Amino acid sequence: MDNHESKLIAAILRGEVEAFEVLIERYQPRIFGNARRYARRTDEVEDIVQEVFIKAYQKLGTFRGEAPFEHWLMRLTTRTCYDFLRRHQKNREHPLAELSEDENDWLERFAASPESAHDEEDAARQLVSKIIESLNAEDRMVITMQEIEEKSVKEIAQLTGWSESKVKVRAFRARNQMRKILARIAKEKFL
Amino acid sequence: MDLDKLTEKLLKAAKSPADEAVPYAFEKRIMAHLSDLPKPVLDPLLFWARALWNAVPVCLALCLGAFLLSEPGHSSSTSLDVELKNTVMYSSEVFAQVW
Repeated sequence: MDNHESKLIAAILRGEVEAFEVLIERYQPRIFGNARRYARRTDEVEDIVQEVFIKAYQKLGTFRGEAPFEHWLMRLTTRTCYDFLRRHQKNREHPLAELSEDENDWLERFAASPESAHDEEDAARQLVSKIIESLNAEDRMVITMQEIEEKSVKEIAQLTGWSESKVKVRAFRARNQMRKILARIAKEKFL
Repeated sequence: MDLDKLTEKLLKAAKSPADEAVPYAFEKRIMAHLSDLPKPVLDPLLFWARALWNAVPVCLALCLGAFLLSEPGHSSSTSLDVELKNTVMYSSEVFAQVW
C-alpha cells in the first residue's frame, strides 16, 4: 500500500473524516465504471457507488493493510454490485421480451451469412446487453468479469471470494445459459 | 444457425471500455452522508490480533535463546523415562496398598 494512502487511512481512523474525500476522488471513476456494468439507470449506478463508499468508511477499521487498499475496495465494490443484482433479480422485467428492429435485422443477417453481421454494430451490443441482463446474478457477474473485463479466473476468485473451481464451473454454466437463450431466440425467429 | 459462433460474436461485441465518468461534485454528496454516521475506529480485536502476530517472531527467538542457553551437555531423556516410569508405578503401588 502506498505510504500516502496509509497515512490517509490512519488520519481517518483518528477522526479526520475529511481525509476520506481524497480516497473518494481517487477511486470513484473506477467504481462508477464497475457499477455501470451492472446497472443501467443513473440513479441505480449512483446508489451503488454511494453504498460502496459508505460501507468502506464504516468498515475502514477492519482494513488490515496487508493488501493494497484498492484491492480491498474493489472486493467491496464487487460484493455490492452482486448484492444489487440479487436484489433486482425478481422485480426486473424480462429484457428479452421484445427485440428491436435493428436487433432482429442483425440476427437475420447473421443467420443468412455470419460474416455480414459485424460485432462492432450497435445492434449487436444492444442484443448482447439484453442477453447478459437476462442471466441470473452469479452468471452475469462471471460473464461480465471474464468476457467483458477480461479478468483471469484467479482475479475473479479474489474479487468475489469464490473458489477458483466455482468460478470455472460458473463461467461454463453462464456461457451455456447464453447459448440456450440464443437457441430459444433462434427457434422463435427462424422455425 | 451456428450458436457457438453467434455467442462468440456477441461476447466480442460486448467488450467495451468502462464508462468512468463521475457526476459533478459526487464526492461532496458522499461526504455529506458520512457526517451523519459514527466515525470509524480501529477494530480492537484486529488490534490485538496484529499485536499478537507481531509478537510471534520475538517469542520464537526467546524460546530458541532459552533452549540454547540451557545446559547443552545434559541429556534429560533417561531421567524423564525413569520419572515417567516411577510416576506410573507409584499409582499402581498406591492402588495395591489400598486394596
